Amino acid sequence: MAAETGTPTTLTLKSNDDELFSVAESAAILSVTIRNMVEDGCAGGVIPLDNVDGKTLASVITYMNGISAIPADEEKKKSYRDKFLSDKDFETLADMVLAANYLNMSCLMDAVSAKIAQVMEKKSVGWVRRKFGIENDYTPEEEAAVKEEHKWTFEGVETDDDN
Amino acid sequence: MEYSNNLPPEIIEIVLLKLPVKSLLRFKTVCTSWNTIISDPVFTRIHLENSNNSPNNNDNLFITEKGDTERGFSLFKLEGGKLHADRVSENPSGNMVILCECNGVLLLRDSSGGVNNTSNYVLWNPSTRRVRCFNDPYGSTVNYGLCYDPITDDFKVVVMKRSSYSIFSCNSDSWTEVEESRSYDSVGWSGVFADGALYWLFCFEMARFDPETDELEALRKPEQLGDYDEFSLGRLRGRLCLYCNNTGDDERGIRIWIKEKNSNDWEAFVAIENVPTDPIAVWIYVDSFRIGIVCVFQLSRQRRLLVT
Repeated sequence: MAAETGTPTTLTLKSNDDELFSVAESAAILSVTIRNMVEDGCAGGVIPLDNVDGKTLASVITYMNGISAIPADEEKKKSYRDKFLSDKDFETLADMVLAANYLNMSCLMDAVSAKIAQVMEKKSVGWVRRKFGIENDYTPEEEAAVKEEHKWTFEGVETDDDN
Repeated sequence: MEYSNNLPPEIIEIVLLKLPVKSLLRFKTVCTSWNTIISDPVFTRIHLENSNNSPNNNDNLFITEKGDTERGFSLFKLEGGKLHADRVSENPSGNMVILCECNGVLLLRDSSGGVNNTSNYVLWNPSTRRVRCFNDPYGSTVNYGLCYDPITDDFKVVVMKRSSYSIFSCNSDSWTEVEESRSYDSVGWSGVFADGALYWLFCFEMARFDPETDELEALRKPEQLGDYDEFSLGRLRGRLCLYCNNTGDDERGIRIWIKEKNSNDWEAFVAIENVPTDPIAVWIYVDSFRIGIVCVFQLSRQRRLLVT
């Protein structure tokens, strides 16, 4: 392994739409999935990541490089994560949470799922159904009954015309 | 734009666990499977544990507002070292005062006074706005406590008398009275629920109530405390803390201890020297990265001491 010679090892990751990315091994092993492949010696050539598209993988690699450049300072890491996720829309966040789950990156998983929750917090039920692609399977009577039980939680909900 | 790449249920659950209660109750309306996830007692328990263990858990303070025309409660959040009042407008009717808190549930008592020496109690969850009323058949009790037994998923109200205590179980909807071999001097303070147990301060003594066994035992003070040092109990990051506010002329300061999680030993946590004047109240809080202490010297003036 190149690590023995002291030179940083670079891995090549391949997205499911066949884009290739080079990333330092030290940053890539933030992903437990990738780390296991490296430890098992399967990282010699190209590492195929069948569940992540190029756009999302590029973003994840930006995060890997950014976060691993920060020394062990949880406060700074947190503010980097906040800033990294601040301009992402719901669709991008949903792709990232799937990628973080597949790549087994707990810190990214935590941050992205918390960001999704923050985006959803004040949204309407209709917004959530649209964004999550969920079909309303209540009868109108059942829906009215569930809504009536928690009527006050519908106060202060944002209007739906934004993201 | 429609989002086609649907998130699997296990990821949806991870996201839902990070939402506040108000949003969760609203999203029960999204579809039947979300209602099932959100209504699951296991989900509720994990949500509570996550909230309790969150670095942003400041052990928020509830304060009864006294007003001539209306009475309400304010939830004070300590964020970034500042107090933010978040008024909860809808509270159970009556002349309610807050006695104590456990897992976000408040024990209230109707202070308008019963005619037949019984008190009306209300258990109120301000996050879900659920209310449960019951009576105390014993009357004129002084020390109260509210605790939670995770084994039986039961909230228990404990009222202390001089040489006995009574336990109200929400699950069985009934009271049990237990004789106590030693007597404690009631001083009218409510118990603090921390670390899964309920702690009381009596004049210069402490006791621990275990909600799983319903047993009460005496608790030692930190060795450094003198026999007649006055101290208070509080909760810091879910753990029991004890703080002593020295008022002597030569050593004015605040000392804080935290009880070890699985033993009755105390760990000296912090000592703050040179506190300028006597605080009339001390609140201790933590945010993500530092520990702060809010000292109220006069009602109009508060000063924050930060310990990083």
